[in-house]
Amino acid sequence: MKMLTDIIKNIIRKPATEKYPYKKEPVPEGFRGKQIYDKEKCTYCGLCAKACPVHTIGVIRDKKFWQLDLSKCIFCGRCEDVCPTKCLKMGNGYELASHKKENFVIK
Amino acid sequence: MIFDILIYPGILFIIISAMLYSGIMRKLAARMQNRIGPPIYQVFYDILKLTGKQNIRPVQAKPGYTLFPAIALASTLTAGLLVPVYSTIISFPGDYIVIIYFLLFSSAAMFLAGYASANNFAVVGAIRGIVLILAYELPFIIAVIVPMLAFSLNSIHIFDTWLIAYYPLAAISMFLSILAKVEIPPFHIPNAHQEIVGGYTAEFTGKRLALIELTTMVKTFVLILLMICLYLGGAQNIFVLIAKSLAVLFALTVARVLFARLRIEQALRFYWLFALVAAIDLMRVIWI
Amino acid sequence: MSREDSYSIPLGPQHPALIEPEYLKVHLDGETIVDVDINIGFMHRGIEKALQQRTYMHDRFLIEKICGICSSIHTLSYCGAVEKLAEVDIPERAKYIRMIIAELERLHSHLLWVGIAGYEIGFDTVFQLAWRDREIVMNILEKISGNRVSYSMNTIGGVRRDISKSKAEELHKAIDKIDARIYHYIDVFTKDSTIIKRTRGTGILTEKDAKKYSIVGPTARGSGIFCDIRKDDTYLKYSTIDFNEITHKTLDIESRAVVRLKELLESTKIIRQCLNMMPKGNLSVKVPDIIPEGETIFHAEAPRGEILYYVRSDGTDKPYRVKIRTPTLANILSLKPMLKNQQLADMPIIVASIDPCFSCTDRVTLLDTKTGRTKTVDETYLKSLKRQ
Repeated sequence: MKMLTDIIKNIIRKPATEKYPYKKEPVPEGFRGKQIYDKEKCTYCGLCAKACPVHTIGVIRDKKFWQLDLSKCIFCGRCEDVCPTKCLKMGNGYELASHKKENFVIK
Repeated sequence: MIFDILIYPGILFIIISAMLYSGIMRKLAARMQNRIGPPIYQVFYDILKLTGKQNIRPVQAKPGYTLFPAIALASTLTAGLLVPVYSTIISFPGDYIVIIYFLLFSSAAMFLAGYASANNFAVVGAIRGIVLILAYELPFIIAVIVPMLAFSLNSIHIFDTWLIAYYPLAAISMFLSILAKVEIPPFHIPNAHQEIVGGYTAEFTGKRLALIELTTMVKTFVLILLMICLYLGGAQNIFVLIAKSLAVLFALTVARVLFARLRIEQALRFYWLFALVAAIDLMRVIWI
Repeated sequence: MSREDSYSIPLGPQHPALIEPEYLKVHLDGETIVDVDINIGFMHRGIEKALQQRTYMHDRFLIEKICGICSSIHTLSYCGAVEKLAEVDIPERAKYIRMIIAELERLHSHLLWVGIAGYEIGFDTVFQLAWRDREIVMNILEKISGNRVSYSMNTIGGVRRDISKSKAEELHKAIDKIDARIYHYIDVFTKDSTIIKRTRGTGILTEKDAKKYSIVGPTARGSGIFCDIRKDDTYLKYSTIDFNEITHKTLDIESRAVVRLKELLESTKIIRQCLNMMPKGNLSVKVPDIIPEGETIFHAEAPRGEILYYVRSDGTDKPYRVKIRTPTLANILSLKPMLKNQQLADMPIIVASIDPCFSCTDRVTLLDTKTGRTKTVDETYLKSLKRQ
């Protein structure tokens, strides 16, 4: 009967759970979410592609091509760490489900 | 008469309010566990969804697989018709014995349905259920018979006095056997989800599962009514009925969130010891 | 009753009591368990082979994904082993941060276990509330590291993020809150009547059996054996910190629960000391991509017990061999003596009492039962097994 105190308190207390899709908890600072890419600052050095443990970043230097496939990304944040110009940042987005493959690609 | 039996306060009323009460119970339990919980009308959605599903009959299922869930619901509803809400719908001498039988029969039919589905888990669940019947039926019978012996042996009716004050032990044994009859913790042993994958319901889907779930809900409601009419002074109008039944439901919900599941032999020992205690009230009725 | 004429029930590969796929075939006499066959191997992921094909730095992120619960202790041991090979000493501050994350992980892992234990004995309220309280730890971990599960804090040569002053204060507050809840759960697990009925005297693992099967971690400490890598073969800065090794001698499930819960109090103690002792300084040092030739082991105390990493380098940027032994692989054998002559109803809680993490455990060896010879399979054979 040791949980009785908890139960009585819980009746009055606000529920600990939230109605998730309607009410979203803000992510903390430094969260590793969907990347934010700044094309202007990028020098196409390819360090992020080399550092990526799942090889989801493709860079072709001559064609000025940079692409990240979110469907493979594990959000480790290595690309952010190695980026010399800080053109790549881990953002706050975490609701990434989509029907279209194009939505997984950051260019 | 037909209206009474079919609509109000008969079958339709019982089914709808049983679903409603089940929803309230889920919501209450959720709040006690600090969750938001499903909306109260979620139960209606669940049943509606189940009735729309495909009926699958396992190849190895034995005869009775289809029939027993329906029998279970039918006999529970019949017991519900015999329990007076604020006036009796059907009443005849000795009907309280019939109530005991119908409620027992609905439990037995559920476990037989599990047995007929011929699944290893369902068979274990059914055996556990039948052992549990042995455990709780004695205190339940004592609890039903004590008010009868005290006032009238003729037929069940609403006892205006709060019999719980005169026969507290029998009232408690009634409450405890409700827990086991509708498989509320700590006695949700036959359908133990973690041990035997839902027990006797393991092999059921679609409409048959809906019937089984409805049976449990209706049984909860009928037993709450029985408790009110036997021990809690009865219900003279709808407001008293709602207040008293919600109070009993609240007590059941507290039990539901407060205990871990007992083992079957622990439950057996518990009920038989309790039957001994409840028998004190029985003796008081008989000899004093 | 012998095994042959008993009634058998499968626990798994899909079973609500075990989240992960594992197959325990249980032989029953009525409700009593006569014998149990343990079959592992449903979640084999070939991770050790995969590790050989990636560079050391890439491996570090793959290793994080071995276990969802103890992701930090895996990387801690791997990074420790690689740093040993490369003969690098990581900065002091990094050592303390590693310890804080490891202890926070122990907090959330054991609180998760408390919830699971409640769930297995049909006590949903304990399950819901323990997981609610675990959320305090998860939130603080998310604030520190940027993710709830894969913290990605340890890296070869140090840690990736700092614990700033404001975060340290939040951490202090969070563990104070957790402490109060842990005292409450100790009370619940030792005094609640229905929980005692299920946990006291069930799943007995004697000291002799525990030694025979080489049990590690809280399971062994619940049988009264002193075995804690943090004390026995100390790593990082555990030697400078004052904490007790918890053992309990009643040998049953309650004993394991009490060990886990009391251990959490020690964990919060360690975190407080670490926060106070943490010096200022760098977070990481550079480790060259190419690791010198050699082999080493590193073991650490994961929430579930001893975790062991063997790393062998052949002087390239990829490891020649990484061997991982997770605590569940050591503990899973203890299920056999624990389950014998117990009730079927107690099976889920007994299996859960070793805090199994099966996907870390699974290894595959193909064995010809007639000749006893093992064999190695190649890619073409594996592809031929694929569903057409």
